Amino acid sequence: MSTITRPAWAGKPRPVALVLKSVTIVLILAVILFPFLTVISTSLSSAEDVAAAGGYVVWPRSVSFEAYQQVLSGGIVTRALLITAGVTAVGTALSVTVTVLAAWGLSRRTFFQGPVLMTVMLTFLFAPSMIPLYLVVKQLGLLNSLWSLILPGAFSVFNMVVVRGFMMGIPQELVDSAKIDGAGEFRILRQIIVPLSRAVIAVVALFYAVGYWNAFFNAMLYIDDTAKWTLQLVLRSYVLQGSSLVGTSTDSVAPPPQSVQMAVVMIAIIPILMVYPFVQRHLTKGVLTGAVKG
Amino acid sequence: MSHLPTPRSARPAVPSAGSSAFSRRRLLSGAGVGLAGIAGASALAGCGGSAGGAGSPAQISTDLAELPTYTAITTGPTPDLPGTEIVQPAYFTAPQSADLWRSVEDAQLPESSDPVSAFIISYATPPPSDNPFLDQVNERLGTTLDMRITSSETFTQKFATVVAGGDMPDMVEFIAFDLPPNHPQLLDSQFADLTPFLSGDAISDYPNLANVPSISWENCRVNGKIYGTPVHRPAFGSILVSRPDLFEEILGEEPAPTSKDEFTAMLTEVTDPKAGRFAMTGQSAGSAVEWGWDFLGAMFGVPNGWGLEGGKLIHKFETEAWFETLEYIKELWDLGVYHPDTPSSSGSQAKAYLAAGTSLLHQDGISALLDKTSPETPYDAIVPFAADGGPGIMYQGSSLFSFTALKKAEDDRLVDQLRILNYLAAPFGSEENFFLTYGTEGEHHTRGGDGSVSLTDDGTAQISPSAVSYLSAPPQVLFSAVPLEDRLTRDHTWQGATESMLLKSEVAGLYSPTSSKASSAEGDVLTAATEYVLGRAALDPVHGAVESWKSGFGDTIRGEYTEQLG
Amino acid sequence: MNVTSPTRPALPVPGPAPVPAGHGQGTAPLRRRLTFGARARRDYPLALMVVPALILLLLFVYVPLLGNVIAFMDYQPYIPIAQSPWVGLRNFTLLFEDPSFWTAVLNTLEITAVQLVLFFPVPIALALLIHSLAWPWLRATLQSVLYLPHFLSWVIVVGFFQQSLGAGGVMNNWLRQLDLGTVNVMADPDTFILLISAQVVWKDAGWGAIIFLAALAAIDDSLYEAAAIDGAGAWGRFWHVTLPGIRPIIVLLLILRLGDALNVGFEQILLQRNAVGPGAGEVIDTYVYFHGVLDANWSTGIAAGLIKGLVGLILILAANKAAHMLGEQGVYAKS
Repeated sequence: MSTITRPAWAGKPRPVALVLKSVTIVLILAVILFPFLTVISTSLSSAEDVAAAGGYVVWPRSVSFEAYQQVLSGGIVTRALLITAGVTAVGTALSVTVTVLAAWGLSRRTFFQGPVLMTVMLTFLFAPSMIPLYLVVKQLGLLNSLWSLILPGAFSVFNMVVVRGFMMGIPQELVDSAKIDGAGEFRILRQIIVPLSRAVIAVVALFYAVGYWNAFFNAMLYIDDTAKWTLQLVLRSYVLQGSSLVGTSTDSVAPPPQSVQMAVVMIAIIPILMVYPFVQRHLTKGVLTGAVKG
Repeated sequence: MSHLPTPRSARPAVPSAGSSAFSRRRLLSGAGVGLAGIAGASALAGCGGSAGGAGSPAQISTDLAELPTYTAITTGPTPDLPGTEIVQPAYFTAPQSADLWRSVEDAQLPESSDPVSAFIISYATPPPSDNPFLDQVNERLGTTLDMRITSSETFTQKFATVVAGGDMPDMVEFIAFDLPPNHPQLLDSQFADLTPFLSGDAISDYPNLANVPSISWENCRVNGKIYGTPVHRPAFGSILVSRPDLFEEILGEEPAPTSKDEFTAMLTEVTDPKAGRFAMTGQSAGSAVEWGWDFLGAMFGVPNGWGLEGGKLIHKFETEAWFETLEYIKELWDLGVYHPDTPSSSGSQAKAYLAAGTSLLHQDGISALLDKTSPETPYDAIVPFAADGGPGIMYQGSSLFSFTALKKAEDDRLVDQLRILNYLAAPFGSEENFFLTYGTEGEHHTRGGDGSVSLTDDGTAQISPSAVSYLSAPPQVLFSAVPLEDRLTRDHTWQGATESMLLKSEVAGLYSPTSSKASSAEGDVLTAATEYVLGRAALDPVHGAVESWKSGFGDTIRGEYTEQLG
Repeated sequence: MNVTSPTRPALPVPGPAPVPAGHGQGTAPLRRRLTFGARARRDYPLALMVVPALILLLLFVYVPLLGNVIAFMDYQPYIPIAQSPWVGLRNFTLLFEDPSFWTAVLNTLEITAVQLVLFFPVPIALALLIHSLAWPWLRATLQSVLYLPHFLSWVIVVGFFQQSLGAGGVMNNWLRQLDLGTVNVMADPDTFILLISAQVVWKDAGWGAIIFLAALAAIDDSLYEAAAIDGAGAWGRFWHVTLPGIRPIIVLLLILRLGDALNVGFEQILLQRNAVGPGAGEVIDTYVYFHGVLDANWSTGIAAGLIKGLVGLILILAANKAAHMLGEQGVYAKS
């Protein structure tokens, strides 16, 4: 629906409702955007301005890109960005595939639905601890490989349950009529179910993508080679420079203040901001109109 | 001063509407840290993840190895402000090229060129994958250093997996303020006892290491044996950092209180809530609030951890002075001289208050005096004094940033690694140290006409991030590439005034297996104390918590220490 | 006005309430129970679909879960696990005997309950608000802005709150200027739950709305048309089309949230617990952190984790059952 006109069935909105909604929206925008304004302003201020202001700058006295320069120089962040982008792309593709398959496989009444679902739900409740998992990853030869950032968390039960929840609403008649037409299960999934589930798949893909993008702990644990550090690892090291209790006397680089921390936040967020519109396209209405009628 | 590891989410697949802790579960359900040799490994053939060796906690040893004989190296540039074994010498300018001298002869370089791996914490940004500086270091050493760098935030967890996974590198850094739990057992079972190589006169094989003051070496001695080489820091424990310029502005003079009453008066005078200015700030630390216990406790004569009273060991919780300190803290809180957000501030927020002038005093480590965020802002420290006006006490710290332990190996391998550490510990002013700090001229640094040195972009990106300075280093001196003359002078003066006030813990260097299990009981005492200060609870729970600590752990620990004091 | 459209729409559409029990397999009136073999032959492609996920779970969850056996041992680090003494349930009884543990449990449950009321509905309300806007550009803008706070770390979010609402923060400085006395919400144990709920709403409500937006998008427009034709006004359409449309996902997420009931946020609370004291601020995860992790007492932590999982399991089963009684499929339905 890309037109501005209201759908015919909607009728005109009452003025009270309009006013209430507008006020709410303005409030929400203010409450969220104001702190972000602070983040952006702080990232564009010099270290001294930030220190003098007590840590956060609402409107920069003078715009300075030194924080961004500090973070982006040397190509280390760029390299990490590429690594993380790669991991995210591959990981999301893998995760979505595995999840959609499992969700559909578990959404119909089958001989295994009960026990498998129970098994899967148990993993939702009981998570393994760090070192046994580390040992498994090591045994599989994944240490120091980028696959260690993808495989252990590739399947999220939560995401699968959500996709499955949506899929359970797909009527069996649809599937049966396709089978009568001679379609196999996989084809049904690919040609009928997935298009119908576009919205939820897009959302779950977003969830996975953000998860991979923000992943930090796995990278810290499994990657030894600093050349393979992911974006979050690198960015956090910038954030921490200032917390050093050491202050090596020969450092000629000042420990980064809030301005760098905020620049780091912005650098991590911007790619996600760029990706979100693609997800949003799938959240439009009318996905299913005509699906069953024909 | 505890530096807490902060757990992070363990899974990449994240969000659920309303369940923000979803991803924390992995870390905490396993208590995250430190599980070694899990039996589940039996399902994994050849896992070998068990940290073999000792089947029981290390036995308490009553023999203390002799410390390496301290042999100061006097060659080198004359400091602008002279130092002693405790007070750091200060240098205002970088050494001139002509004055550089070689401290390590070829014969003292490692014999074998086998690569040496090291597990290091770094506070710097990650190094580039192609690091010419590190290559040059390797060239000089005649071997290859494989640096496995972890960011400081994640060091503890990473360390745990390294131990559990059996992937121990040759050299491992043990952070003095963040030692792994049960580290004496760990050292005993996995790391080499370096006593034969370093004790007494044996250290003469490694002159640069012999140059490190004995206080630092003391804390490389665990359970009687020397396990590592020190990365030296000044011996002072927590200090009360101040903004002398603001005191001057408000009171007309820099702060130099000599008694409790003078101190209190000073605090109230500079506090002005309407102007958004508070005398002192603490921070949230561990499971309670850090009110400045070390500085204030020393004022009342509280022992440094464990003290001796009538020949018997007594813990600070058991002293009257400690409760006096508690009352004083409460008095100060009620007077409003603490920054009101003290209970919820983090360490870096507290530092930010100090930098912004919102607070004028903050208990911190001595390195805070060299904070370079705003080089123009003066930082100083308060010289300790006793509550009744007498001479003050300064708790002695470990005088270490870290020590580097060596994995059990053949003797020649250990000797080679010690030689590497010796090289890296080349003293200030030596050719090696200059290289390790500034790299190669033209590539990593440039010389100004006045002899000043500045790092190039390559230098900044390659040298500090390579983290070799955390592996081994010379005694730290007061020097800064960024001009900080005023700060260095103040730091030096303060150290001189405080040198004689250092007070050790009576149990420094001794080993108590039970003490590593006591931290939550200690935390409970401090939590109860904080609740009392904030007016949310009475004094009785504090006494109660102390009793619990005493009966649960304190008496046992006392026994263990007493055994070793002989 | 006669609203004749039923709560269950006549057209079968994904999203709304499921077909009543007994109508699982198409419309054949005669239902013979197939043999297991026959069902296996029929279902094996679907089984294949589930295999990759199962492999991942097996490798990366079930095998490492074996390590949780140390909950029943007095684990000694750095030595092979087999050499740690077996203590059976002692770690659990130690936990149960510690009053601080129960304080933590109660706090955790309290926080979950409060947030179910104060937080859980907010993403739904936000999604409905956005969904009801007529201008696509406004919808898009709002959506993109709302989820931004999710990406800030808790350190930053708590820092913001401290800067604005802390005792030395903007609000209180202002109050001081006006001689109105100060209000310190960051260190007040009585309002702690409200504080952290407000923080969670600010940070995650927008992000949580995304999934409801997807659910709303899945509701067929023709249902709205039909309802309007039958004379339903805005409220009528909402009650009879929209709500039933998203009810299944609401129930689903509610059940999952209950399974997670004992997880209420670690980093967020750790940062603020000391200021309000353990009486109000201790939750199970922080308790484990201070009494397990820091003490090198790993068995405690794992034991607590098992307890959390068990309680979560019970809650999920109970909630699922309740959902069935309300006519929903919930997470798992035998129908």
